[in-house]
Amino acid sequence: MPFSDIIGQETPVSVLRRSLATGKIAHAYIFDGIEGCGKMKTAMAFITAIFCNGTEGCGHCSVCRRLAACQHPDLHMVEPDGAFIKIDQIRNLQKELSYRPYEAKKKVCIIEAADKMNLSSANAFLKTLEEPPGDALLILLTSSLGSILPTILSRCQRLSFSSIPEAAIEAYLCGTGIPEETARIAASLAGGSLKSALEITLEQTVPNRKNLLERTIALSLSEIAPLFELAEEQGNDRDKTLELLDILTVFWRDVLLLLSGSPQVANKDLLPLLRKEADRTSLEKVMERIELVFRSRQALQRNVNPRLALEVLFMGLARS
Amino acid sequence: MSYLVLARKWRPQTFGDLVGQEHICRTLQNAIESGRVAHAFLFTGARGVGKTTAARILAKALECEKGQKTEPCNVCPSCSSITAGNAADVFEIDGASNTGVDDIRELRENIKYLPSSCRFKIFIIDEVHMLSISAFNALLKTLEEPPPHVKFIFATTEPHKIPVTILSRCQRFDFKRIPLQKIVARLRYISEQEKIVISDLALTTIARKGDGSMRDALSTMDQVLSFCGDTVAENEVTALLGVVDRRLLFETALAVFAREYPPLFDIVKRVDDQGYNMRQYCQELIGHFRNLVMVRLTKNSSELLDLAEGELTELAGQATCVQLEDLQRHISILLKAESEMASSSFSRLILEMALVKMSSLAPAVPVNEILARIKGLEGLQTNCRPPAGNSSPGKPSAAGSLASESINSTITSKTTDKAPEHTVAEGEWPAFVAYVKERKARLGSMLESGRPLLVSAESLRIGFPAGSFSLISLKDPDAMQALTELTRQFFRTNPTIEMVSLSVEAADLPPSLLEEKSIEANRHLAELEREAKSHPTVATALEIFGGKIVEIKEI
Repeated sequence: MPFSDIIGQETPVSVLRRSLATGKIAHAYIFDGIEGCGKMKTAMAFITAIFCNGTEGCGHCSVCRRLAACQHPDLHMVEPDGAFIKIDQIRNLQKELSYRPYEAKKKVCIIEAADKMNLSSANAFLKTLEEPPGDALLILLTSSLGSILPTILSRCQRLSFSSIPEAAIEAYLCGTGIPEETARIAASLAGGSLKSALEITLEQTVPNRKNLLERTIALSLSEIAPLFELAEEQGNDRDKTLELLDILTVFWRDVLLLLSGSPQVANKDLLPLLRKEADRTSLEKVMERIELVFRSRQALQRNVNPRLALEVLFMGLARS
Repeated sequence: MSYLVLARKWRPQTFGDLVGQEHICRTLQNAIESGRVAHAFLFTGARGVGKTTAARILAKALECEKGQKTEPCNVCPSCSSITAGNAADVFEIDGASNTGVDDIRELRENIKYLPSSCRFKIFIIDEVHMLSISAFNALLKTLEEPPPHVKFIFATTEPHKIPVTILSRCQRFDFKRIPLQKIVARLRYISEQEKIVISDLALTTIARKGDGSMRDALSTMDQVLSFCGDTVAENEVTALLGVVDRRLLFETALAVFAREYPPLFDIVKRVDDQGYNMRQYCQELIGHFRNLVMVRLTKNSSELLDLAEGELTELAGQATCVQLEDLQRHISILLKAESEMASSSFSRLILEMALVKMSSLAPAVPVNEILARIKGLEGLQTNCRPPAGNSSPGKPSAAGSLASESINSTITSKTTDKAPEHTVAEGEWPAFVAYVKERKARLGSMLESGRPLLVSAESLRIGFPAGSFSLISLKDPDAMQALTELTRQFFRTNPTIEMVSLSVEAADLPPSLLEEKSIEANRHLAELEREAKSHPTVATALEIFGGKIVEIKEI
């Protein structure tokens, strides 16, 4: 995985390239940026470069191929076990790091979703992070920098990853054979994340959302049956529910933009629907609705039953 | 020798090198000199200010082969082994990995034996706040009266998590945040030693990012050096650290005060395009508004704010076109948004909504003006006495009483109209609903929201709003069957039951039980109000205090 495969992210990539060139590689990095903007890819590119020949991974030697398949004995990955990264995982990691590397110059560990370390594991990690045994390299990835302990943050070199520009996402999608129209909408809905854009195209979100939006807007409290039906349909799967919440958030944000006189809406192909909605509501009402959607999302993050959350949300939206 | 980050390479090895904690260094050095060294120390303070470093230096000073001096020599075998981390008698324990009571019991076993090569056995327990409660308790007796050859040094960022019994057995040292200038001075020293060309302004920007912590500042410095190499240009530093361009902050504030929405969305787009972190931008905005408040309130703000002359004048100019109260409200909106952003994936939208709310705030009227207006109104009121009863104090209660009066009149009129149809008397309906509710609570509560259109021995017609939940549920065959059964039992005849769907505009129909209940409640409230208002004590109180009745509640 060479660095050139990574889209956007010039700053972090040049920092890493420079440190490879000068040999001044820190022992702990933290990559922060929205989900799906390239943190894991960059981390792998960096590690491949270090293990392979020092500047750039060649891609075809045994080392590079094994790294790409996550089969290298000196590369360790830690990901959340359920909702958290538990202290036993950290203790295992400390044990692994205390051994000499099998083949490579140093042992490397990537910690995905480092913000999901619970309090005990984060504290257990502190000493290791400050002075890792031997010549180990630790890379933490996170999309929620605010949830990382300041004591952890202080021990790492921080690289900020920005959101990928729409044009770049569109170009990438078109390059993989997706029709231009779909690519344009997916890029504008993705909010800077390549992963989201790919998910949107895979799951047919682009054609489906018009239907979902019209049904949600038409809900009213006098006809209660469609409301419960929609909640049941969308609430049987937590991911589906989250996706619906995302669609609603982007939609109401577009209405907010229209009402404030700003034309850069994300749902470019739904302009008539947006205009109709904007005409019959006010700025305060739109912000109220967005708040309702946020609250539902928070509730879902606390493991509320998705169907119930949607019922409450729809009733709130229908009422205002 | 592999590369060490600056924070590790330049960890101070003597008390003199430890920056910003002079009060602690002096105390420790005096203690060593006078021979009054405690057996248990607790070092607390924010991250990266020197706790672990001070613990190690103290250990070295106590064990140094040249005698217990105020500074370790750093050349004797004892000092070198402690610096390298492999001294046999200095145990650096990670409190977060060895949290259990068994680890502490092992430690206590170990304590009995005299040190092998040094003067003392020193236990440095870092992140001590993570020890379990049992572990803390197991440590208590040992901590209170350890053998003479043992010293304990605890270090933690969270002293509030340590039981008070442990705290009272230690000598506590609170490490302060390191002032900006001291961090800059140390960075300057290190950059000279590392032969790096960097301006003072860039060093100040880096030091400011450290936010009182030396390690944070050094990590930032490492990042800058990785990006820029040995010669650092100022614009590269600001670009790398995501320090938001001050111009953007000014423009945002300007757009908010001018109450214009489109420029706000434009600016947020620019912030996003330039790759700044939304939350950081919000924090910088809060800082900017805080600066505006400071400039409004103080004469010589240059001491309190770390800004250049030109920026101060611009700030002063912007601060004149906004009220202090408005600024406070803007800041509270931003603070709320910032904390929401911490745990959300839509930080950009949260910021945009916050900015829109700020722009649509009605301008705050100063409190003095409001008071003056009230006084003026009071003067008017004493001059022309309004007729009693019209100036009803509580608007909601007035509306409620009017509404209840109108509904009461419609009820009385309707009952006179429909009297011949209700051959089974009106009073039967509530009794029937109560009967149903006793046996099947769910059916009963649904019936309560229905309007009894026709209640007779032959048929029962109940109206519900179109599309309502009760209507749909009662049409269910099981519910219908149960209801039919209960109706037969109550009326002792077999009336047909019909559920009617009513449109919203059915104003002249008999009210449902729920509505009757609410009307009754309103009537009761109006009754209470009349009583309260006419009570002599209340009237006297109103007169003496010149007040208005705001709310009447039954206790």
